[in-house]
Amino acid sequence: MSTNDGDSRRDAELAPFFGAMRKAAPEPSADLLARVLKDAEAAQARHAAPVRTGAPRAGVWGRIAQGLGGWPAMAGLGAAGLAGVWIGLALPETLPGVTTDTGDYVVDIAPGPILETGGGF
Amino acid sequence: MAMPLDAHDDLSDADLLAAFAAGDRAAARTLTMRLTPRVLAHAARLLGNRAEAEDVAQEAMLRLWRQAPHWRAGEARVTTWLYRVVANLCIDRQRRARGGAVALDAVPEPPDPAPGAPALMQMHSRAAALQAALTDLPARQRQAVVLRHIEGCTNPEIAGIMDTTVEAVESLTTRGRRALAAALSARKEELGYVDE
Repeated sequence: MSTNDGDSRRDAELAPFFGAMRKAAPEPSADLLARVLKDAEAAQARHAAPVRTGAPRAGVWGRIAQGLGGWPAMAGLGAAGLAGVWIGLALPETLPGVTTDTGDYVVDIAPGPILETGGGF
Repeated sequence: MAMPLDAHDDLSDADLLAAFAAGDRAAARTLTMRLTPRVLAHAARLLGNRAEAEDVAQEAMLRLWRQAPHWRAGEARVTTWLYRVVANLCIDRQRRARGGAVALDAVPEPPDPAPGAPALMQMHSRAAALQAALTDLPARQRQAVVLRHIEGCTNPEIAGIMDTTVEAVESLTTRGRRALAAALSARKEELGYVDE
């Protein structure tokens, strides 16, 4: 008898045992099924938890604004900045004392396109 | 998303898993009822211990629940993935138990037979004898034989589950069957070895 014949005969003899084991599969207890289902529901609850229902997360600028005190504080900062620019650019016509006449030349501390000289070149 | 419970019966495991991940509680129930028996049976056959098999089954199913949101459809069958998880959990347990006595309460006690039920008695006797013989096999032979001849997996599926080649699977199952036949031949008369 060849090896293949021997294996075939052995496989045929084993087949009823494999069949018996399939039929005699253990049934899960009600307790095990309940534990598995409880785990499933807990996992579903955890999966659902990260879903946000409130406001979306602030972006980079939003988080910077929050760090500085929120949007009201940012509005105040913006107003102060604009006021500084206006003060810096406004001509000092209403402040005559600021202009200094040295006799030889006049220094106008306000920036302007023309530098007037006292000597009249 | 929720569907009536009976609407789930026709869905594949992968579709049910997607529904589960979307929050469908009926899908959780259907998957539990469908897969827990298979996972438990597979663990019991590999471990030879019912109590440990229950723990492994619960842990394997827990891993499935956690994997659900990340499951990529078409990549693997759910049962194939579970067989791999169960095998890994069983190996971990057997490593931890090494050095200590491992109770072999796996072999189910034959139930008290109803009068006139010799066929049922024989079925349980054969299953118990096969379980005892399987437990004596090397772990990988046991896993390959169970996957091939009990769970009905194909050799390529088994190769995927066991991270090996189809040729290696064929070798493992052949050697495993020979060892089982040798172990069971000693009980021919008792078990009705050649009566079918």
